[in-house]
Amino acid sequence: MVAAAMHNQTDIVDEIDTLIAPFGARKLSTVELKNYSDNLSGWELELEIRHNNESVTIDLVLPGSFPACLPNIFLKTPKLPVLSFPHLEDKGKLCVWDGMTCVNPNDLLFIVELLEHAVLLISDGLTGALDQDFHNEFTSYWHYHNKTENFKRSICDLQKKRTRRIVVNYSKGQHTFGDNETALIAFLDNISSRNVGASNYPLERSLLICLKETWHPSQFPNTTKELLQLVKTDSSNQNMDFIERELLHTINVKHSYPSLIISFNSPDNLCVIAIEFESSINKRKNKYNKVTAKHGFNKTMPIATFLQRVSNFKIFGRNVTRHDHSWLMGRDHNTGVIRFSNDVISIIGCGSIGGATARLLLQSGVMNLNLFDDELLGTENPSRHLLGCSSAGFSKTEELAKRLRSDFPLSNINAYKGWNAYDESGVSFTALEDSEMIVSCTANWLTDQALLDMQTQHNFGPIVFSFVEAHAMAGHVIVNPQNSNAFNSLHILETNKVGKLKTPVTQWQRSTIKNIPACAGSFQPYGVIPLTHTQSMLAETVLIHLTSDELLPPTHTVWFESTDELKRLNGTWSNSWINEYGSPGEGKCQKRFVYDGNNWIKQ
Amino acid sequence: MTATIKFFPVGNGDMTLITTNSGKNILIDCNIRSGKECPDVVKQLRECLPRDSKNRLFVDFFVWSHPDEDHCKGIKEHFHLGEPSGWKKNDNKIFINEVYSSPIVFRRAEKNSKKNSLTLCEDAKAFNKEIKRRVNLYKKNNKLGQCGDLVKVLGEDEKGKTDDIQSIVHKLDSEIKMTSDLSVKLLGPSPISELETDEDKLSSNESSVMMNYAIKVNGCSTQFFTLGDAEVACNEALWKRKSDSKTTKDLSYNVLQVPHHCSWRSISHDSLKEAKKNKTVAKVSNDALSALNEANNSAIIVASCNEIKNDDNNPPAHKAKKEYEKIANHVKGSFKCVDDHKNSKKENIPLTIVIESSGAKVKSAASLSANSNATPQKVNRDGSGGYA
Repeated sequence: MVAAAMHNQTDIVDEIDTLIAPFGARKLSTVELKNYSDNLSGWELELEIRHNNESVTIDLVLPGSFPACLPNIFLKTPKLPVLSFPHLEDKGKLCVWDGMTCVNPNDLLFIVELLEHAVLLISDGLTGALDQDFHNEFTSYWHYHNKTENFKRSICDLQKKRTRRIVVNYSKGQHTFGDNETALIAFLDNISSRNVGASNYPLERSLLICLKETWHPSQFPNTTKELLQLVKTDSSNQNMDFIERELLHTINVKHSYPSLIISFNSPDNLCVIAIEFESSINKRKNKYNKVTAKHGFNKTMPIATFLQRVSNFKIFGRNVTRHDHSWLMGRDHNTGVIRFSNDVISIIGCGSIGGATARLLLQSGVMNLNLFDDELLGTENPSRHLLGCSSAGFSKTEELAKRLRSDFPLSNINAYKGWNAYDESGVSFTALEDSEMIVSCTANWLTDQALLDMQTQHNFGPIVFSFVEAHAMAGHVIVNPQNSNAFNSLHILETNKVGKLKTPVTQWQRSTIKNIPACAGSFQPYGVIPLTHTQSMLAETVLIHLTSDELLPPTHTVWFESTDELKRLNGTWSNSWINEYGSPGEGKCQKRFVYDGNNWIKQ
Repeated sequence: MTATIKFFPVGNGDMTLITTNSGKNILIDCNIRSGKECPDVVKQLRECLPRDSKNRLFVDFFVWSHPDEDHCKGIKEHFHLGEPSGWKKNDNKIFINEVYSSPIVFRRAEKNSKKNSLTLCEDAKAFNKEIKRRVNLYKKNNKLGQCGDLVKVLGEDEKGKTDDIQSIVHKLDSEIKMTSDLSVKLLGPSPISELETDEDKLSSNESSVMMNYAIKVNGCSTQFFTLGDAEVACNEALWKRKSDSKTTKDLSYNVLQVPHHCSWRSISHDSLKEAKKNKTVAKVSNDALSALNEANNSAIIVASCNEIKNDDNNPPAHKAKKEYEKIANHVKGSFKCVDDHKNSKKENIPLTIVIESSGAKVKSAASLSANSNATPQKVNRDGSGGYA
């Protein structure tokens, strides 16, 4: 679309033709262009560089959607395989600029710079000056050592940089490594949404080797012997006796291609790869005749004999997809998330606010959630709920938990279809008691009063209440530490207005409640957009309290929607609010108040 | 072991220098313009030429395609015309050993000028006078002259006008051995009998010398086909004559200098302006294009003209360029415009084709390596600062 809007592509090709003519560019013929898929045009350029007495030529190829994307550059001659030098990809494609690069698509002079950088990359690459990039960007190059598209999974905690025994599940088509059986089975259960337990996930012993230095492609191992030599020479001073002993147990399984994983402290980040071994020493593929590395030794096999037997076993490089917490929550660079990993949050009411907040908390690093809601999801809910129509007719909590477990398989989510407020021996009571914070998103007066009562009686952690006013034109988040009376101080507790806010933010000419043709059936119309502010305000409030080392005071945070939108809906900012706290002006703002036991003070 | 062909940046005009492997220099036409906006092609040419034993900047052969100003401008000022003994050290003009010219072309051009109440430019008149001096000297002595007096007549003139100088006349379709490593096939001008028109009606551009040079390096020959300003009728006649005689191989080339600065009228009878006005499509003449379509693999097609823009200009015509690009595309060759050839300071320099035994290649005018370490000017590699 960009190309069509801004340029005539014929003119672009002519302009580039003129631009790069001084460099001896020759436009590629249509036959030559067929070597490249999805192209607009291309040119061949012979460079001043020579490699082994052969001239170096490149092709500059414009993709069909140019200038909505950058041109591609291919090393044409000499024909060099990938891994000959860094940034040389399949079919000679050169990775000259990364995806962050910005250019003005109306000024094609950038193409000359692209060519200049390509020349520099090739000349430096051919002389070995870029070899450090093999280490800095190790996983990209290891990818070429993996002759399959086979990816394994790891949930092992790579922040622990210690070579250790781990476990692996060799499910058909998917091998998963974990630090221990419990974590691995929970992960497999969550991600498959099966909840079938350990018996369905046979586990084997495996090994995680933590090395310091990544390997140059010329070092990529092809036999067990080569691998052990690399491990031995790594500056991490590995305990080779332990590794060799564990290797025996790793390889000695009936599985066709037993595996271990290796992590590296590459200069830019942690990375992890897998190694697959041949397990069958006589190479027979018939599963009934398979013979393991330990064949002939009933019990103990001397390590030396084992090593001698497997030293020439072929090994195969494999890629690993990281599923560990540090990676999932921010690619090892979001250290804050680790702080929440042991905290438990209970959310009572998994509707439009509670459901979305649960997801925000998980995305922020919270791993343990208790979800409470006794309602089923209706087909009218998806317009403002996290769940969609595929969950309609099912329990909100169970569907939400299923979805979130699958999306965040390292999390520990308990779903409760209901709760008994005062049953101290019930599971729901225990769940609340064990929580760092309780979040109430029911907007149900009696539920909230019961929670406050239980908090007082049982020393529960802070309760955070959240709800919206009519049409979601104002959103509230109230933090009620034990015995603070914060929540109730904002509400009318008696008379025929019990349960209402003393100082509502909005006021309306007529009732905003819509009735439906059912007994006690009514609803409050609002859409998802105004809700998102209240959801993020609630999640942020919970996280602020979790990260604080001390108990924070009671707070009341209010989101004001747009004044124009409020007027359109025949509402106004309430007189009582304006008299007490001032006008919200044009709205679209957030205000926070702190309770000193008597008054709410604006921050 | 190399030969070169240099196309000087003379705008819509021709000035081409062949330097053979043995060091002989053949200049085809000249168009030396003055003004700051014009590249200093005199300097560029002089830097390419050797000096002879008398310390004269020396051109072995000057081939004059036709007498239009854009093919001879500056000859009077920058080349020595007249008896060799008149060359002056202080003037330091370029000395021409031998001239190749066509009286047919000159006469047609002269007639055409008169018909249009025009006169030939002073440079054309002066150079014609010099050619006549050399021919008359030959007639007088009845033998080839010395260095600086030599002349060859390209094509027999009509009505027996060249019968008395047969020794210095090269006939149409004959092969001329110019040096040990350079020969040339004379392919035009076509005789009036082939042009299907009255000679009086010919425009000057319908008669140009057409030559296909064979430049040898290490025994391997590279063909350089150049047609001056030949227009569509000439090219059609050429194709008809060569295809009728089954000698179209004489038209094959490795390097082609497209006729008349990439003019549409060299390959079509239809006017681009008229076609645009009438909302019709100007069609190419298949015969004319066939004469230019005998490209060898990797052929280089050169347009000696100003920058070719996608506009209504003609010459150079964008539509003609597209036709030549099709020819290049078919043989994995390339189309080059001389005006695009700029060095790293954005100065126009000659488009140089280097001929080795392995073939012909365009020499780059600028280096991609030179600025590789320069600070980026047109690219931000740090990103926009926005993420999604």
